[in-house]
Amino acid sequence: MTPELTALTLAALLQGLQFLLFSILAQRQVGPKYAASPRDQKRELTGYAGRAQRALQNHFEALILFGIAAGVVTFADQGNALTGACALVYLGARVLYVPAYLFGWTPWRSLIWAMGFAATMILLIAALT
Amino acid sequence: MTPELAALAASVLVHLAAVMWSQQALNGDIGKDGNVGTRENLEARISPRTARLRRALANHVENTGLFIIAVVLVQMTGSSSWLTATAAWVYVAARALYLPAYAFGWVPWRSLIFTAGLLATLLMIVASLI
Repeated sequence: MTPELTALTLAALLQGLQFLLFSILAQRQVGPKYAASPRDQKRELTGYAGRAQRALQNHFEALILFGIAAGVVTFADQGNALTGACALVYLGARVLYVPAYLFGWTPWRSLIWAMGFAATMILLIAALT
Repeated sequence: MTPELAALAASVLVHLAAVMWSQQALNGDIGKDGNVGTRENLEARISPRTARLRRALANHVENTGLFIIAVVLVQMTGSSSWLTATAAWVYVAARALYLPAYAFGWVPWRSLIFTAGLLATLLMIVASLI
């Protein structure tokens, strides 16, 4: 497996963990009964549960772009030391993003997000050139 | 075509069904004019059933991202087996059932169906790692 695909695999598994974390925190707040219901009355999550939900949502968005980038680099056979490093930076940034959101590390959360985004963009540009 | 890619293609049909069902419900609430309009203050103007269908569609989109990654990883690492093929079709079946489960409020089945789809996806990702 290429380093880019390994990072993608681990990032997708990270999303599984983030979902688990969100699910536990959210169910502790609203109860499993509401969680299983069709949620017709919207309940806004607060505190850690809300932060875990927003961090999960943000990684869904980022993961799609990174999935494209890692897939394209591997499929086009454009992998090199730079793309391997970028994939690692993305993974590291997304791991750090979770505590950064949960514990309100400001402005680090935004900088960590930007690192992951920049790493993805470099991967895509590297695939083109 | 591998079973995983065929399942990915089938999941697009589920997506299409989710869009058409929620759009039909939306048209019923706010009419065609409301639908093609700019949808200001939409949440207050739609029925609970329509809101459920829209949440079901949003959830489908989220899971699609992970499922595409799972299929790509299985393909590119040559990890396809009867297990990943089964998981891919479990995913499709779960996502198809998820729509009526949300629309008709099947409790707790909706949550279990969702979990089946997520676990099937994660299983494919793990299978491509080992």
